[in-house]
Amino acid sequence: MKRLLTLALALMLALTLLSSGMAEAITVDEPTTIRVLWCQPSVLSGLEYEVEAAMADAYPNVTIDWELITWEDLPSKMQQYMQSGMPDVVIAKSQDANNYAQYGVWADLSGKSYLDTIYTEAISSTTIGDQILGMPYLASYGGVYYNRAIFAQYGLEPPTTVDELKHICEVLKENGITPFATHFLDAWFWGWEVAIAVSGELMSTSETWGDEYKAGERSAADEDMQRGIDLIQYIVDNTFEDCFSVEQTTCDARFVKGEAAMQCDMATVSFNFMTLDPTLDFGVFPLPTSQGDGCLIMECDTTFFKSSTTEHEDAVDALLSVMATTDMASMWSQAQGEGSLVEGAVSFETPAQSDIDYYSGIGLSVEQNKITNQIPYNEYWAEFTADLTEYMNNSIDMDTLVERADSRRGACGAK
Amino acid sequence: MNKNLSYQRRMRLQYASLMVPALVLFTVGLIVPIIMCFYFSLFSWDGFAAEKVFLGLGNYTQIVHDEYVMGTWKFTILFAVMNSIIADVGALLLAVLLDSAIRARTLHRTLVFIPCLFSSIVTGFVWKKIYSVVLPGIVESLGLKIYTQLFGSPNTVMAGLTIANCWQWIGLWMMIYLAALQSISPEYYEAARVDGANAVQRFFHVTVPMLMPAIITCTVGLTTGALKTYDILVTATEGGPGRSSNTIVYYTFNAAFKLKQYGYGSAMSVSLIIMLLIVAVVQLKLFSKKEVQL
Repeated sequence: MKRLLTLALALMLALTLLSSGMAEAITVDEPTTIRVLWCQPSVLSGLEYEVEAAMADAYPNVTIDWELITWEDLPSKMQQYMQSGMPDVVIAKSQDANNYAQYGVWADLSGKSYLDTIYTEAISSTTIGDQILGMPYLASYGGVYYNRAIFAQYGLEPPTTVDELKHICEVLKENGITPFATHFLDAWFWGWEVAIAVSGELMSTSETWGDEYKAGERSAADEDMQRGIDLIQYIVDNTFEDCFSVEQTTCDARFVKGEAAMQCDMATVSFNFMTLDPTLDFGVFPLPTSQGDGCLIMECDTTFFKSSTTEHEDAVDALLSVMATTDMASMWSQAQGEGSLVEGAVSFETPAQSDIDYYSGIGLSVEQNKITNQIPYNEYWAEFTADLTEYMNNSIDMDTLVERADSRRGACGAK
Repeated sequence: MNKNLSYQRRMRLQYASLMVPALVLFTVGLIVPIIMCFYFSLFSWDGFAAEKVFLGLGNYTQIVHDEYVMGTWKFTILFAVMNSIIADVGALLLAVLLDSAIRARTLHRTLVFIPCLFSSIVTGFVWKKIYSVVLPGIVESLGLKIYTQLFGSPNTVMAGLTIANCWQWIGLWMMIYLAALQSISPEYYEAARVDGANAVQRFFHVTVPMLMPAIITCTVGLTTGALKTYDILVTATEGGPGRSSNTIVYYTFNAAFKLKQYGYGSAMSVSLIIMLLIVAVVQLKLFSKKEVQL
């Protein structure tokens, strides 16, 4: 009897120890519908149907009510839903962890088992303080995409400094090739280009430039800001004359046809290039800075956030656990044309992958949030870009541009 | 007598009760939001946080000192004037033309009207593609050197938006004029013909005066509509290049939702309501005088 009791106790202890080491099982016993607000990128892929099919297999009690918007509509939607009731899940960009953290709308995902499959380095993009406020899922690398064949033809190598970039542009122009293809008719892209060109110089000076700017220690009149403005002006001067009249489609076609040798853009253009010409061999390098420390811009632009007020915790966890599987992650990566942040997933690869791996390996890849958490896009860069356009059209002078930029320092700094 | 009075009172109450559902919708959908908008305009608020800072009329004084507001109003008013004139005159002339006995006039009326069925978001997107891809392609294949990328320059963006906007809405106002034209008795034209008036004289001395109520409706509608332009800009120019196509509504939306200045955006909305009311009242007074004179 004693022996049996001892055995039973030992078994119970073993089971307890075992279960504490196991991932907690997620169960959804009641039929549950969760609301998902998805800032869907430009590539419409029908992925929501794949998610529903996977959920139907794994968690048949959970159904999803999708709302698809563009990321530009997110602020107004968030204002609306913060008053009327947040969706259970929001799929947005990793920078939205910082954008909305102060309002307490995101749940802390620390300790959740589905995060174990996400690359540790990516988790930092949604970590605010000691809380993990989102599950980063897909990432893209922005930089200067270049035509390898054209570079090889003229004996050119990816530059590391601005002077080297200028030399490349001169060689290309001498041979009748426009250095840059751009699409500044797309205001969001013009703003992005300005942001990375200028912020590259700012981050070379100080990694906390935005915080220092807010504190009044820096100004838009400083040399580093002016160097960034000069760089963006140089790009404008070395692209097609109608750069402000051209949108993405025409720009991508010009690059693919070899009319331009470089295109400074987000990684989503890889998808476009490969669609237009699957045989095109292209690479990517960081937009150079005067200090030679330019970095590829890594943006985790598909990130899953759980609402802090959701009444369907288990159902949301169920969804996130399905998303964190390698099958689903591989599917999303291939469909969206971006790199997966789930370990073991088959990540979308482009001809530029070797360059991405190289620059990431030597530490020349910076997470976009490092910039936008300090100097936000909507409140600062978008307005700065509009002012810069007026400056380039001679509607305002540099003093006015600087004054306007500095009047927005209050919007900067980590929140 | 007392029975009559109580009967009249009962009938009035019955009529009033029939208006209650519409009044409720009007109050909840229009009056309450305007009051709430005015309330929020008295605060500094980002639209997210629970706390609001009371500013009184601070947001309104900020509007006066805001260097961007003047620019947006200038563009908005110019855009409204250009669109009203071109669309109004164009709609009237089209209506007169399509009221006459031309071949396939039903087909022509349909073709002119179809664009109004599109969303302005779609119109902006379509015309962006037309100016940046389609027209340049056609011009290049014809070997011509004509600048067609109207959204790409601050000097031409107004023209580009006017063309797109008029293309979309001219059909709607044309239908109003067409309906009004049907109501003009042919006897007036007959009398004018007998008096020796030619086609142009008949147009200015018979058609236009008889259409004055429709002209008032269309002009007021076109002006207030153009002053509220927003959705076409979202997909067409996003207020650019720079801020050269920023209307007051687009600026208000950005202030409220992108720059997180909800209180300031609300103040701009209130000031816009007041301006639109003034414009509408002035137009109605001017045109009703004209109507009386004619």
